[in-house]
Amino acid sequence: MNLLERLIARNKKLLKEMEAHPDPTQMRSNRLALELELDGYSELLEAWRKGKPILTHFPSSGMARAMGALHALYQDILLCTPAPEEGLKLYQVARDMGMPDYMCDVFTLPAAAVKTGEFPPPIVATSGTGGACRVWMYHMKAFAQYFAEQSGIPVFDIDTPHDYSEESIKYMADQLAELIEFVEKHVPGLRYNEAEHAKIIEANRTWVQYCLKDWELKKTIPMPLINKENALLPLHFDPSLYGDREKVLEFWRQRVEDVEERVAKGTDREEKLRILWLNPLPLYVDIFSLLDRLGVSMLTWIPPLAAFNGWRANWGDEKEFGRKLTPLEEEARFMFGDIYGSQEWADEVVWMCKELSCDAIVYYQLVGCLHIGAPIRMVADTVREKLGLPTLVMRGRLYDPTNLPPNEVESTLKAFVDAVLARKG
Amino acid sequence: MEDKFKQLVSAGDPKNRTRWAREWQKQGKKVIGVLDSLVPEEVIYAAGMLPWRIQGSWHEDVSRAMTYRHPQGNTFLNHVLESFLAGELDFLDAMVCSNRDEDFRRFRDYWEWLDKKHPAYIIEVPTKDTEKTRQRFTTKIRDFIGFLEEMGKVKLDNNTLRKAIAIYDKGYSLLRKIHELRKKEVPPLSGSEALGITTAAMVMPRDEFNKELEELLPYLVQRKAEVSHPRPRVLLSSDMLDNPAYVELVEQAGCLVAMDDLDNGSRYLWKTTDGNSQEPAYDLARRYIQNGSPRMFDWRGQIGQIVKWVREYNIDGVLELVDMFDYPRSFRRPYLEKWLKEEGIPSMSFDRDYCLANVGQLKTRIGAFLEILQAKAAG
Repeated sequence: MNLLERLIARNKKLLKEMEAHPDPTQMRSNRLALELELDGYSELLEAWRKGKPILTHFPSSGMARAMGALHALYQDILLCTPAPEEGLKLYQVARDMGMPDYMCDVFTLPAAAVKTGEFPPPIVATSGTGGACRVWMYHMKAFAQYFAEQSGIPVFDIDTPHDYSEESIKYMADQLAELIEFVEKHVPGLRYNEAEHAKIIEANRTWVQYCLKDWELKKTIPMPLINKENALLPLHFDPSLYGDREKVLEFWRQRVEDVEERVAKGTDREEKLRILWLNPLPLYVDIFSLLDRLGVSMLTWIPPLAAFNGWRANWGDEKEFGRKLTPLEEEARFMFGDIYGSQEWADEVVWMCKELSCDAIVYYQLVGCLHIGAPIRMVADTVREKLGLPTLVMRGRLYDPTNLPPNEVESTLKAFVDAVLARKG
Repeated sequence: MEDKFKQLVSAGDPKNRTRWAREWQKQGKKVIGVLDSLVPEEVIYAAGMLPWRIQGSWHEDVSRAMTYRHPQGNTFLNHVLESFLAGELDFLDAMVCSNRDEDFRRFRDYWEWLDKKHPAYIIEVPTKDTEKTRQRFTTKIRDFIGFLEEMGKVKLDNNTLRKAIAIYDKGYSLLRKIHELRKKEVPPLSGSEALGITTAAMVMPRDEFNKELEELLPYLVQRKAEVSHPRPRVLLSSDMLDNPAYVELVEQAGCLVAMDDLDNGSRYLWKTTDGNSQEPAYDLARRYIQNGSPRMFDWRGQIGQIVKWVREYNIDGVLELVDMFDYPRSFRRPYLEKWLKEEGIPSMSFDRDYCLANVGQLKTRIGAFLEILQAKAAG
């Protein structure tokens, strides 16, 4: 069984259990979330088996859908389905592929998973579009090159601009148009449909509105959700990732309704501290439950794209540049939604801490993550100077406990929580 | 003449490297620190300022810098930050770098954060060469010109820029002539001396450098370097390597570094700009976009150039010394090895620190590679 098959089996089992033993304390939207994931994995697996076009490592799911293809965010699947044993074996595969040992796991592990047949291989590859992160760019280049060498797939290089501006967006959109021509030429049966793309963007706009509501509800004190419930990553339920966009939007509607109900009902949960967790987690430790036990609310992890917290314009926004953007410009704008200078990032973290009334930050410096991981000192100093909040820095990988053993994660977090509580009085 | 040559070779040494910059500033002119070879220095020179190549501290201790740096950040930038924090770069009027990779972007952010007095400019250099990317880069060079004009209160017209390009082109041509001489069985200069000369070019006013090199050229044509091992002939490939002692170490292990693929070496000088078009900024964009750095996406083209050099310089093997955590080069590494192998060219690649550290381990590894080359030569 490959990873997709195992995930399908897992979700089916969970849904069956849910059916057999309904738990009134669970959010109703959990069921839809599981169903959506199941639909997504099944659609991908079926397309793979039937040889339908899957554009992996493509800059946008929306673009892929608008061309009649599928797209999958492998890194998202690996992040949202923590399975340490899956991760561990992938490190060696990545090394064998020639990936540097210090490479960010978010990039290398999906590449290794493709190599081992856990995920469908690419039929065409793009390099260069990592949105903001220029390490991702070279990962994509290496990934593309690897499969070009192995199976002769065509590769399209995209030059990602450095700064966020209307000019950069146009520059990127022009290249996306060239990419579409390139894919149409190399993959029989794919044709770009701009009207369909516009519909996808409209769905995205609605999705982001729900995400913004979800964000607003995170401000509730005390937070009525347990950390696992609160840990939902907006990008995991991007409508363009799934075949049934309406179902995704229905999930979001129901999710927001669920949280609103919880907020209205209140909670007897003792909330001693509220923290912002920056970057991914060590997935070999159940951080969510550990923090729950310590009375700590983790309000968000892997900060949402800027688009979700009002920093930058949303899908379909016409105010930012005083005009309606074309669908490809919309895609380019979204890709750049998280282009940050380090100071901008530090300011945004300050903003998030204020918004969510945080008491502290835990900053997980992922091995090889320069984009978010390098500005730690600047962020920590800025947050301390402006808000007086402490930052705990931990360094490690997603799946490899040798760098940072689970007991060390637990003891460090406990000590930090104690120190912040003592400081808080 | 030999003394003059030795002086030029050591111009980039820590004790000498600020000499010209200080003199320049005494004349009331500005000195701009240039962090990497993707920055078009000609523009700075045209604005009446001295482009001065920033090097890192050559000491091993980077403890102050590491309180800011990511543990997997490249070691060159660690050493530059250490030097910056020690106040060794305080004399600079500004710093400019390219968006070479994520680490350079983040480094520039820290510079700006830590030093509120001197501007830190970043210039966007595209990652592939097409007409569109050249146009984009031209716009970015124009923006850079605007920055310098404002900072120096000067106006930079196309003619002035063309003149600066011509001076730089002359320097590149002279350096290229020197590199051509490296094809000889016993070349006029060793690998470490060749690196010394290009790094000298980066810290001296270019017309002064050109004058000195022009005077030295007839002497160098007949000079024979003191080479202990004329074979095997090795091509050294790396980036952010500016310490000739590194090359010396390789040569001491028992070979001759007869050619290099360094951003501070052959790649710096290989092409001229020929800025005679209507738009000299475009001419610069075209030149700098063809820089052959592993951060550009044309890996085939870059390795193709190395293969060409291997043939032209009668090279026995390629030694790649990757700055630890140089992401673009590390990603390219398997293809360098694979494509060179396909061409029948032996190669070896391993990581190194920016400063000359772990000398024993380095020597052992280089020695092992040289043994492979010797065994191959012996049939």
